[in-house]
Amino acid sequence: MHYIVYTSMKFFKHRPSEGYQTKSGIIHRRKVILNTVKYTFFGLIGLRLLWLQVFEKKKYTVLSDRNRYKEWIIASERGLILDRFGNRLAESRQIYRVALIKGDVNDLEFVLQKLKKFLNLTEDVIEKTNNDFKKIRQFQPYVINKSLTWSEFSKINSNLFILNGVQPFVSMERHYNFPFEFAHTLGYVGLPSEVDLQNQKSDLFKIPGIKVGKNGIEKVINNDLTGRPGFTRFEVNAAGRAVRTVEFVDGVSGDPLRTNLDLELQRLIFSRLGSTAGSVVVMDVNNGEIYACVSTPSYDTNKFAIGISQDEYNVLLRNDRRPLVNKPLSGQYPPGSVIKPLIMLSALDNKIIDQTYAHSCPGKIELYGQEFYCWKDGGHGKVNFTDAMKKSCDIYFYELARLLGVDRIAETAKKLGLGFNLLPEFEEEKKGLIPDTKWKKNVLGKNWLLGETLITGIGQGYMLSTPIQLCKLIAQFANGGHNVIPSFFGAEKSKRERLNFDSDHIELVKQTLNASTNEPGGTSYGSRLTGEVKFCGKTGTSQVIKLNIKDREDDGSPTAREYKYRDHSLFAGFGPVDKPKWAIAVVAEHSGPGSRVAAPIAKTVFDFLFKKRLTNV
Amino acid sequence: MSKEQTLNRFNLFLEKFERFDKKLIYLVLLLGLISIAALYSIDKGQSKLYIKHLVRFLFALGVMFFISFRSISLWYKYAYHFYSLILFLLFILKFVGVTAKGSQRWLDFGFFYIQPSELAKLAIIIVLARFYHSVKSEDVNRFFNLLLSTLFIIIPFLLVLRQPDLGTSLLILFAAFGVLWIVGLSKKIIISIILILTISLPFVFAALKPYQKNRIINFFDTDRDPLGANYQVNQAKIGIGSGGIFGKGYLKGSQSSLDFVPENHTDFIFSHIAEEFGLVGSLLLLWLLFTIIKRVILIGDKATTNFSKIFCYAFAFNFFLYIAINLGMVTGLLPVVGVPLPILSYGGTAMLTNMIGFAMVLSIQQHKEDYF
Repeated sequence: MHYIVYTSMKFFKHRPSEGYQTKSGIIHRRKVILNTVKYTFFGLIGLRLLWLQVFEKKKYTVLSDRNRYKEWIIASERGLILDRFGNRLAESRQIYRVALIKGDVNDLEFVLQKLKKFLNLTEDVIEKTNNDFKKIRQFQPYVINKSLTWSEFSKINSNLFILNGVQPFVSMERHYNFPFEFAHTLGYVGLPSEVDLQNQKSDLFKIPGIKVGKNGIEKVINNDLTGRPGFTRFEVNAAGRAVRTVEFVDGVSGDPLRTNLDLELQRLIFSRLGSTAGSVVVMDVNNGEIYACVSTPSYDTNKFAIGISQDEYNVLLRNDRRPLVNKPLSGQYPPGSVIKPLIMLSALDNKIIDQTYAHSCPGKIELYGQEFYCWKDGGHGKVNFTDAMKKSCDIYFYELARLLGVDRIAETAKKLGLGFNLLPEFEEEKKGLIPDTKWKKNVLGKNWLLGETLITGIGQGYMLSTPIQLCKLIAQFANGGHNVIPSFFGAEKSKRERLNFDSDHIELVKQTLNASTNEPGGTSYGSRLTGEVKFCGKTGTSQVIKLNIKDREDDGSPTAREYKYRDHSLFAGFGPVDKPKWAIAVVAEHSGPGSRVAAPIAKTVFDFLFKKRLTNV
Repeated sequence: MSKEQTLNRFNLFLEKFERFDKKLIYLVLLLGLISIAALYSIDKGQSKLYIKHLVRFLFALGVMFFISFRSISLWYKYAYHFYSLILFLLFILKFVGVTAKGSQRWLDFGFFYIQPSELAKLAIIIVLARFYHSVKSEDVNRFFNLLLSTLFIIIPFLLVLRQPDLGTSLLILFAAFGVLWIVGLSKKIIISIILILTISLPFVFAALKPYQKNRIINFFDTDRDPLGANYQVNQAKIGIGSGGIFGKGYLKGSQSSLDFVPENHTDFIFSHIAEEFGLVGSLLLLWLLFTIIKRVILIGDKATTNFSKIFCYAFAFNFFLYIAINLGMVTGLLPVVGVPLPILSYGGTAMLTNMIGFAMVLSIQQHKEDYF
């Protein structure tokens, strides 16, 4: 400091004019001034360095790291899905894929031509690759949409020297061991859509090539199954090429999920349904654990997991038996006679009848000029309480419905859980419909008609329910009037909650159901099990259209009507009768009378359960 | 030659060697070592540039010692010849020069290339020192003398500018200006030159190449075009800034090693050193460079002839100019001009030029009793 002050004083203070100075004097003085300039500039540079390296260090460190490191996130192995005995329903398998790395590929056309030869790629895949490849960023890998066989994989590997920028790799892909049987229940995984990205604000979606559950159980507990992704941190140079691996963090596999499903039972039911379009739900009457939930016809979820072609998808979409619909949850059917236990309980509960009540059935009745038929031509004659259920007499239940009125029926139905979602996390689930006068006024804007009350008594008209609702309904009769919440996984440890019904009334209805299956003349007597352990239940034959006289005459042959106008065949039951354990609901679409199609399926199921599972449990 | 004579000569040689300013030699050696270590660190020795630089450094060191044992009076005597030789080289460059990166700067001498414009910076100092040694102090500002010195300056300036090499030609101008300042150019003249330059700036700017214009515009607006013209400086600043106080450690810098900083071996080498050694390292390097300058000035102070004095001061100023412009550019204080960091940056002729300069300084220190 002294020096500078001294220098500047010399510069500004009195001094002889330059002419009188010696030459070396001038040189010396000029040098000193020059030195001052140098000191100043060095000081300035020093300050600048201080600023950059101390005060702005954080900012520049971030920028430097952003330059330097790139992360490649690796999707973790998706968790297993197991059945109740630990059998693997869905697992992750190693598959061989090939990726093209943009920037390393010099001649895309040549590479694709070669790949086409080695891998038998279709024109579609080539065209899609060509298009997509243009859109991706430099040095981003593009995964070709085809899983390779081992021989294809090795062919690529041994020809890598001519395939610049081609990267064969092994990845984990979801594999369903029983793709058809569990298609609707487990769902499948796929690339996340825009909607998926918006709905879930999870970082997991940033993982390249990640698959998410698109529906079914895969979607419901997607986050648990996904696990934590691993990543590789690369150091990249200015050109974006990876120079070395800095860090590798292994991902954590998703948690395995043990479901309540029973693989053997599910497969049995699936094969038993065969080509029939329909659904079967089997659940534990006490805790709601779903043992089986089958929907037919089905489709191959493995194709969806890898990426199904549009053509194949269109075929599925156009199929009139709707293979893509999860029928147990979202198929809504008129319950038909299966609703009769509920009507009877409602009548008892509202003290309209007791078990001594009897009514005569002439085969048809007339109301305001409209005829209402019993399913049996000529009628049942005098029908008592038990026979009404056993023979499923429609006239008897018309009378009960008339006495009750639709609003009281609706109240009982809602108390038993009909008309609500049972598995709200499954988006595809439908609520069904329990009509009442208020509903009709609000929605249709019309007054309720008495005739509509009558047909509601036999589960026709506006009333709709899903198979899983019917299963829950019958389960609640079976367990003596306790609420049951169906569940695919996890024990719902909720307390057994009594529904507000007289248990004697429940018991009375159960007895009539037992009679329906296990006493001669019962609607499902033909499907009874003759062994010591028995099951029972109610058949249902629900009409899709209003029948005319000719239809009634043709009723014997199931193929008389066009497929979509044929009756649905239903059965809801439980077993063993003495100590109920399982409830079942069977709906076979457009298959004819419940006693002929649905009840025998239930028989098969209970036969299996009693023989294979009862001793175990 | 008898044995005794040989011994005598050897003793004389040792005696001379003993008298050298060891400090300056050590400092220059240290600078060379730092340079080689930094060049190695940038690409972990992959490009072998550090070996080439080492060989050149050793060669230049040999040249330095050879020249420093010769009397400074030789340079005084042959100053005009040397200047003419350089002018000749600059002139024939037009016809036989090697073109690279759009400008004709190199002369091919078979096994090595020479960049005459680098040598011209030294030549201009020598010739002006020689010229003003003989001019009486009261005649410095005479019109005739001014005209002559302007001619000395303007010829190499134009030859280099035509290559084209704006950076080097400006440095020649500045170096010459430094000499004129030292010998006592009247302040009136200096002020009028500055005025003329200021007025002509817009015209100069208009005559610049588009990339040069961009560099200047970008200097005043650093956020503009971060991937284009400002990319170099931004990346260099990231390198320097991320070094922090103690640096990332030797061989651990990433900005230059991963090629984010362009010209990382030459003009922007300081960025790499600052990244690996941090504020501490870069301030030490700054101190080292500064000490060298001070040392040269000190030798100038002790010199007995005006030629020697002028040369020492002017060379020190020239050395300073390189450092100032380079560091100013790398740290974003000045616009980007292609000026290397003396001795540290990779580049043969520039190093040779500087080493010859140091050799002359050493010779001045060694032969201060020589009068001419």
